[in-house]
Amino acid sequence: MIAWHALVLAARSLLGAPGRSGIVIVGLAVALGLPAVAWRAADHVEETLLARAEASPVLIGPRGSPFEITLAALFFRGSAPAQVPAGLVDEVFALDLGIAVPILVGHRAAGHPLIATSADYYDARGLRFAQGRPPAVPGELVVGASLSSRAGLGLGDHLRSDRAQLYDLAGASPVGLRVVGVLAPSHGPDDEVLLTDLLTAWAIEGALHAHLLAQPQTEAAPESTASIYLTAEISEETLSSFHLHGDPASLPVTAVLVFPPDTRRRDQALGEWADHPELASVQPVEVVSVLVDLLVQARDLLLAWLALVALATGLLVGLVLLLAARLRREELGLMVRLGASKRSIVAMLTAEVALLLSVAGSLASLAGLSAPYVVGLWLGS
Amino acid sequence: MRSLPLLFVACSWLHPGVDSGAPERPISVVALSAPAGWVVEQIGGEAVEVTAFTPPGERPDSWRPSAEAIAGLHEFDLIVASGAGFEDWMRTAALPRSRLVDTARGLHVIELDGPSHSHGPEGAHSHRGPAPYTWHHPASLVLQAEAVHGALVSLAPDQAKDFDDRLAGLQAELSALGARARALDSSTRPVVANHPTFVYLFRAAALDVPFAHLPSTGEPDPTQVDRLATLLDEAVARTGRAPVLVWDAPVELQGGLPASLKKVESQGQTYEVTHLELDPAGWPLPDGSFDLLRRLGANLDRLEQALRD
Repeated sequence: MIAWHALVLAARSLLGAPGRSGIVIVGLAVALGLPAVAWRAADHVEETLLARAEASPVLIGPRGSPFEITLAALFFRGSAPAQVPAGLVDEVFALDLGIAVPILVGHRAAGHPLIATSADYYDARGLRFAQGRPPAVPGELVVGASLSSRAGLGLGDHLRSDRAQLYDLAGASPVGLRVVGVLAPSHGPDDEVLLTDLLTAWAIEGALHAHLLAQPQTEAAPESTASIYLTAEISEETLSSFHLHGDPASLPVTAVLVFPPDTRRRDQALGEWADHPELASVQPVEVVSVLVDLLVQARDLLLAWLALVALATGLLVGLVLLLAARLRREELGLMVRLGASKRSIVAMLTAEVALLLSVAGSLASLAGLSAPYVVGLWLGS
Repeated sequence: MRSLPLLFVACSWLHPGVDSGAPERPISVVALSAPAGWVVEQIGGEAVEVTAFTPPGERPDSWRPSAEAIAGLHEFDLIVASGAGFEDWMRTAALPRSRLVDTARGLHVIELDGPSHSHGPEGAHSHRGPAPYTWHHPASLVLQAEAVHGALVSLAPDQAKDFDDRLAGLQAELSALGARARALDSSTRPVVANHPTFVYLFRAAALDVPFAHLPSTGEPDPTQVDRLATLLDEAVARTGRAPVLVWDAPVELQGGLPASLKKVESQGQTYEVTHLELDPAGWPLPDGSFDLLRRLGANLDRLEQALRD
């Protein structure tokens, strides 16, 4: 009964001074919430990074840059030079090491990252189509779920590839691209990009082209001159005229992902290029684990710092409550004179602190629970 | 996928599953050309369901499927191509490599000169390409059958014994065909061809055959006809024998054959040119049938006969 009366009196007291109560609650919520948010956000990033890395058993890239290549080929972040011959895909298949998928990053269309890969990528990653189908010919692309929602891109929409160098007037014209598929959400980096076939990337680079005479200064090919015989548009009519210059096996890609069917072939894939002078195969999970270790260290440091901040905040809140109790000396004295026991007054003050901590703790928990979602939005899945 | 052009469904076979009693689905294979489909049928037998991708009446080396039809190929367990550029549209198609059996991959294909052009400061260059009709060399066809066999065994290892037996049978028949090709007497008459379609057959028979690169279809221009006549003259001058002119399609020349392609004058003698049409065997007959072994055998019969006469 005393506890109930103490709780009612405490609630009324707190509601009677909303400004003071609000400041204390916000102070406590921030002090408790910051470590919770930091913890949950770091956990989410760690889980996301490791999940993507574990779903990518072997990555073959240029020797000496595993972090750069892993970030580029798995997370489509940063830039990495394309130094791996596309013929490596055939080599992996010929060695029966599993499904090999090329990844070429660095291109963009309408400002969005355009990742070039092969038709095997979608099955290997377990990606499903919400609409449409995978690219079948050059000039076709699919849109990740989040990018589709954010940029309003859907089936049948047309984009143009971005010119790699603004002032490269001698380069190939931007290529017209058509959306033929929209991916279902996969809650990973594929949600945020455009995906196309290597042939499209090679068309953008000019290696795949047709010798059709483009009319100068036309709407379809605004960058063309009479002396340029490259068409900017890939259509069913012009497609049969397109051809590759050079051996496609020697054209460079950023990296090759390998999905071995068993551990024996995974180990074989990891060892196959051990002595190669220019290429190296890595386990992305090992590379990402190093990054995650750094992240964990940074998180622990941050948490230690935030714990100190929380302690200082707690002390300040305690001081505020103590001062508040002093200011309420007359009020508390009146309660004693009216017959309230010392125990009842202590119970009421304790209930006030408990209520403040409960509300602040609830707000901190909400912030912690929503942290992964907010971080996902901020980082783009 | 059902909207894909279907030419033939070779086999449809169900048999009881081992554990559940549920019917086991045959391996679904789409053949991008008739020779590839024929090989799959020979090796796979009733364990495969073969769908032809090229519509009736179309040639795989000139037909181009729609993007939607190409995307539909993802639904098959295996996509089998003759390769070496025969299915020309594959150059610009995004196909799943994990399901694609390009039977010419790994063959020592013969490279041919293509059209030349120039752009930019790099000067003129020629696009060389593989000669596509690989199945005319029995040894090549054996390797292509082995590629199909390997793919089928990895998909249905429990049926490897059946596939092995069928491969052994096909190897024996092709070996006999190869022996016949090698036995052709290349010293009897010189051979000239309008086009490199049968370059693999000539290699199997150890025949040194020059090509005029006339178009396989349509009317050749006069300079191409002159080139062919020159090759005939050179062949006669080299051997002193009447030449055989091999065509890969019915001769389509307005006003009929010019005299230069009928007879060759050399050192006061006149040599009659024998015109021999061989079968490219790259697509089904008008009635839809396709027996590659029989058609290769018939080509050898005709070539043997022409060289004997």
